[in-house]
Amino acid sequence: LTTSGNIAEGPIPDEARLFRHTVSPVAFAGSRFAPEKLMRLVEHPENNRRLLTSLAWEKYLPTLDLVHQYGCRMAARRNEKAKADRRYKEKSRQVYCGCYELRANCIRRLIDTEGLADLIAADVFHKEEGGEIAHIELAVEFGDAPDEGTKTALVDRLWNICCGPEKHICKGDDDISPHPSEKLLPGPKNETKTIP
Amino acid sequence: MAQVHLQSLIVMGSGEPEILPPEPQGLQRNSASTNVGFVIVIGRGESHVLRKSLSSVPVISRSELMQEYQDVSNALAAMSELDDDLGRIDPPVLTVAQNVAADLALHNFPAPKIFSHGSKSVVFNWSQSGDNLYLTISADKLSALISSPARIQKRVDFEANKLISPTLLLTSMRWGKPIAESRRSDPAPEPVSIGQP
Repeated sequence: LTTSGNIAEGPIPDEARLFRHTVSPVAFAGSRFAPEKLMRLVEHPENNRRLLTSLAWEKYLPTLDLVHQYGCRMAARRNEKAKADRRYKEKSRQVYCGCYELRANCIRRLIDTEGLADLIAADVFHKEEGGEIAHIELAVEFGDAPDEGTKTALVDRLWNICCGPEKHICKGDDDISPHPSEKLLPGPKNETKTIP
Repeated sequence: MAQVHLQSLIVMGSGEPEILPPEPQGLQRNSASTNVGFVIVIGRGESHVLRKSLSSVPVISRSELMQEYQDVSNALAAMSELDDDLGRIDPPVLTVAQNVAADLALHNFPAPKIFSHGSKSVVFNWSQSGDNLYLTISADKLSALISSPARIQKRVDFEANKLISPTLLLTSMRWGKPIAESRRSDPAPEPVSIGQP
């Protein structure tokens, strides 16, 4: 399930199930899972009105096992890169903990959110990255470059459309006790949880 | 309408108890507004009345609260010393955040959790049962936000140098009447489609 180059495909359906993989310590504050750090939004390099983050599409990860394999690969790649850059520390070892699920239509409906009046677009795009064909880019765009308070509001709303989690311990991480996956919190939108 | 009851708290010190702050005269509680349940009680001695009438409210000592704020201060200092790529906060942000934390501690406001979007801000967060209160602190602006799982309930922005007390901002939101309006009251721009990146 790997390829190179961008994938030309039609719009992602509203009902598409997307996954956000959770990695420690990025999404943690000390030993506490920090929902506010789950979505790590970055500014588009050429457009400061646009914020981006990454998800994965069920279409290319049709089983929960494949969803978790994606997360394990992601954490392993980060650790390998840190080792290659000679900045790896066991304390900051990247550990995949599981995933949360979001629906594409929930992301698109963010533009109707009271308190995010300056948000003019929110959508998801199929865009291979790092050899992962299931990679999805979540992009939101504001009328003006979002201020810091607006980023807080966006992070809050993104967390509140998550359901799950599906916890997981990767092979090679079973020496970690307690495993940080134990700290994951229920997604606020769990009434619609449909992870297989 | 969901209500936010974030973190009721009693702080016990020594001497006679005193309940602060009283609700301002003439301010009507808006039934459609958020009720942030921060009960700040500054006490100077353990009181039978308090023990009896507020037995369900968590009680911590002032020394414990001050220790929590010391932890906040240490965390802020650590965030200012991170590597660039790990989100080191800018010195002016650190200064404002330390001042805000000092004001909150002075008024016995519960100690927050902390996170950051990067170098330009620090976010103080209080949460309970899915409801959240955020205070986003930039070098020149403070933004307070109350949310429930269903929606953003209220947001108020302030210029940092014009705000006398961040604690006053947070407690004023409790009564549904922000003490100043957000600049984000302009008409919303028309939605557009994002092109394929």
